[in-house]
Amino acid sequence: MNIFIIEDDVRLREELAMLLEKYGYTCQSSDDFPNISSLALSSGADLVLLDLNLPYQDGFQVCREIRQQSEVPVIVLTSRSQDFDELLSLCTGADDFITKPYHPQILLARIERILARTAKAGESLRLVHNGLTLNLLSAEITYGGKSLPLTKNELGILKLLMGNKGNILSREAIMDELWQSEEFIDENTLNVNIARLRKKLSALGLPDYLKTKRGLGYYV
Amino acid sequence: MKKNKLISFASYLFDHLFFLCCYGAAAMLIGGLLWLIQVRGIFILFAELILAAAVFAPLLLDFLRRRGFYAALYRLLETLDQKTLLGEISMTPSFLDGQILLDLLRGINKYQNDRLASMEGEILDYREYVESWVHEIKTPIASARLIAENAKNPATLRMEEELQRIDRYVEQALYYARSASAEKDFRVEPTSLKFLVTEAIKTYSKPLIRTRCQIHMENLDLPLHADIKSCAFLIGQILSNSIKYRKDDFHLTFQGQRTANSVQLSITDNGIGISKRDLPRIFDKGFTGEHGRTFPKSTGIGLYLCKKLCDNMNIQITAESAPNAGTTILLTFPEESFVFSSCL
Repeated sequence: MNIFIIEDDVRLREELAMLLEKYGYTCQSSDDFPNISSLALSSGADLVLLDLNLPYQDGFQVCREIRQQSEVPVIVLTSRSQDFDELLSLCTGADDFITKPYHPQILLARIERILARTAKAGESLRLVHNGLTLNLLSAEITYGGKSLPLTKNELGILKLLMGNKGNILSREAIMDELWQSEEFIDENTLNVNIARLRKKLSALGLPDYLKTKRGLGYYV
Repeated sequence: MKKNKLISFASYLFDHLFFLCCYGAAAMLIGGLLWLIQVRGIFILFAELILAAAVFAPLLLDFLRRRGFYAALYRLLETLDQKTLLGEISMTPSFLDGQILLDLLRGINKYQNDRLASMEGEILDYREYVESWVHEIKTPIASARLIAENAKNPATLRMEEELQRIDRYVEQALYYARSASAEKDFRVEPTSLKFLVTEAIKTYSKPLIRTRCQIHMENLDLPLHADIKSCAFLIGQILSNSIKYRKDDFHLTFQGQRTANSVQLSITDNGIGISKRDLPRIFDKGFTGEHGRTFPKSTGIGLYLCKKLCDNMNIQITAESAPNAGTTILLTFPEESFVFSSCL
C-alpha cells in the first residue's frame, strides 16, 4: 500500500517514511509545495498524510483540492491542537485528525483502520519475515499454505515484533503497544498472550519463531 | 461589606462637633445677654428656638443629601461587577466636596482601567506566544519520538519515555497559559467516563507499566458531556500524582457513579496519602506540603491547575486521604444542561 506524505519538516518526513516502510507501506513525498496536491493525486496513493502548516498554502487548501478530485483517505497530522483546526479539517474532507506528537503505534492503528475500510478487494497489507506472512488488515498469519486468525492482542504483539525484525523488544515496550490500543494488560496477561501466540505459530509449523532473550525481551 | 459610615445622624453630628460647640456657646451667650437686659423668659426661649431651627434645619438637609448620595454609591459598589467603573457610573452629587471626590475617583478609575486593559493585553499576548511556542516544539518532539521508534532498542525506549515526559510538561505549560485568561474556550461534546480515563492512561502508559501499576475500572460506561482534551489532561495530572507518591504494589482504581444530576468519577490510589493538615491546601498554587520536602519533584502546580480547570468547566473536585491510606480524588461532572449553561 502506498502512502503520500505532505510535510515540510524534512527530518519528520523521513522518519515517518522509515516507520511506515518498516510496517509494510511504500511512501512517497515531495518538496514541490506549490503543486503538492496534484502530485499527491497523480502518485496513486492509497492514503495521504497531511500537515497543516505548509509553505505556499495551508493544509486545508490542499485537502480541499485533493477532495475535489478524489476520494483518497486523508489523515491530518498537525501540531495545531485547537478545536477549530480539527473541525475545519474534518469539514474540508479529512478522514481523521491526529495531533503531534502522536504515539507511532496510534498513528499506525489509525492508518490501518482507515485502510481496512477503504481497501479494494484483494488488496492487503502484509508483513513478511522468515517465511511467515502477517496480514494486518485481516489479522491472519500464513505459513506454508496454512492460515490462522489472531486475536487483537496477538496481532499487536506480532506486528510490533515483525516490524522491528531482528531487534529485541522489551516486555515493557510490548505492553506499551497494547496499552495504546486500550488493552491495559499486566505482566501475567502478556505471558498468556505470548504463550497463545507461540502455540498458534507452532500449529503452523514454526515452533521457534518467537524467541526469548532472557532478561531483555522477545524478538523474531 | 463594611457598615457604611454616613447612615446615622449621630455620626454626622459628631463630625460637626466643633461647629456644634460654637453654636452651643453662641446660644448660651445670646441667652445670657438677653437675660441680662431683662427680656422675658418666653421671648428668650423663642429666640433660642429660632436660632436652633436655623442651625439644625440646614444640617439635617445636608445630612440627608449626603446620606442619599453615599448610600447609593455603596450600593452601586456592592452590585457592580467591575468595581473600577464606579466613578463612571455614579451620579454627580449636588454638594461640592462630593463633586471633588467623584472627580478624583474618576481620575483614579480611568488610570486603573487603562492599566488593567494593558495588562490584559499583555497576558493575552503572552498566552498566544506560549501557545504558538507549544505548537512549534511539538514538531521536534514528534520527530524525536519517530526516531526513537524507528531504532527500537532499550536505550531508545528509555528516551521515548523521557520524550513523553517532555510532552506532558509542554502540555502542562499550555494549560497553565490558558488558565491565566478568563476565556472559556472549551468544546463540550458527548463522551463517556471510560473514554476520558483511557485517554489519560494512554498518556501515562510508560510510567504506569514501569511501576507495575494494576488498573481497576468499575462502572465507567457512563455517558456525559465534557471537553475531552481538558478532562483527559485533568485525569492525567491526578494520575501523575498517584505515580509520584506511590508505594510498592501500586493499584489504581477508577470508579464511576451516576447520581441525580451528575456523573461522578473517583480515582483511588494506595499511595502514601496526604496528612490531615495538608489536605485542605493541596489545590493551592505552589503548595507542596510535607511531601514537597521529601519529594523534590513536587511543584505545587498540578493540582492547582486541576482546580482551576474544574472551576472553569463547572466540575467539582474534592480529595479524601489519610497518611499511608492512599488518596481518593472525586470528580463530579455536571449534567448536560448545567454544562451548557456554564460553557456556552
